[in-house]
Amino acid sequence: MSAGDRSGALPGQATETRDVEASPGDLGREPDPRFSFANERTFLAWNRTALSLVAAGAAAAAFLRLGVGGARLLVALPLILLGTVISFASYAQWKHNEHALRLDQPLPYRTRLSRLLGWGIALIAAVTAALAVVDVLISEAPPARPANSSTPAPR
Amino acid sequence: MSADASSARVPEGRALERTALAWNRSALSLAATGGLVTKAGADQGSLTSGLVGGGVLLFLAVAVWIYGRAAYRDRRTRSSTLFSPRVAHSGLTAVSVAAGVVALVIVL
Repeated sequence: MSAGDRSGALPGQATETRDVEASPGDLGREPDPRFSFANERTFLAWNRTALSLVAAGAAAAAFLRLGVGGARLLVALPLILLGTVISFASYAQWKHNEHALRLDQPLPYRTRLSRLLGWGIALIAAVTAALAVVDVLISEAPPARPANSSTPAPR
Repeated sequence: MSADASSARVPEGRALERTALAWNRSALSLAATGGLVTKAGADQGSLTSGLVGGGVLLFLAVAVWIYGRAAYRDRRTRSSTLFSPRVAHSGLTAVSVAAGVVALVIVL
């Protein structure tokens, strides 16, 4: 089978439409099942990534202890929201790829999903690092003295 | 049955097996998320909502695992699957979004 042939051209295998693999639409023709499975695995991998982000957000909420007020939420919320968005987007990408496979169209090499994940994680990491630095600075700063603590108390 | 005859019957056998394993990993990820949501709920002082949310996610993880196994078996024997891939994938997406919503509710 040539590299560009996605039409189920295994030797000795007919390319008839099978009811085992229901299509996302009635367009095009049934692609090679191996390409459909690869597309499905990619969707599942993105879905696991989304679930990992949600789990990381829950873990941040449960275990993160920072001195800055609201820092826990500042880390946990973006992680959970990014995971939810990626979960939606992974389904849209699977559908788009399945259509492209059925219509023999080229698949995008670099997707918006990977850009979204990359920038999202970079942003969250930067915020988390900044919060950690602020937390260290706060914890190492000497405790503030009361205004009149330098004068000895009258006997 | 010899290996050649088996591979002639299911030419996409290894790809199918990898896909079944991917469904398995997805179920495990969902179960782990359920466990973390339960822990987060307990730490936030809302143990009941944590237990309910985590329990639902664990139940859904078992459902995803069962679907993955059933789909693998049905595709291997070329019988019709319980759900079409579109329904299964949109269902899994809904489950992941539900996990996010449950986590949001517990964190907030």
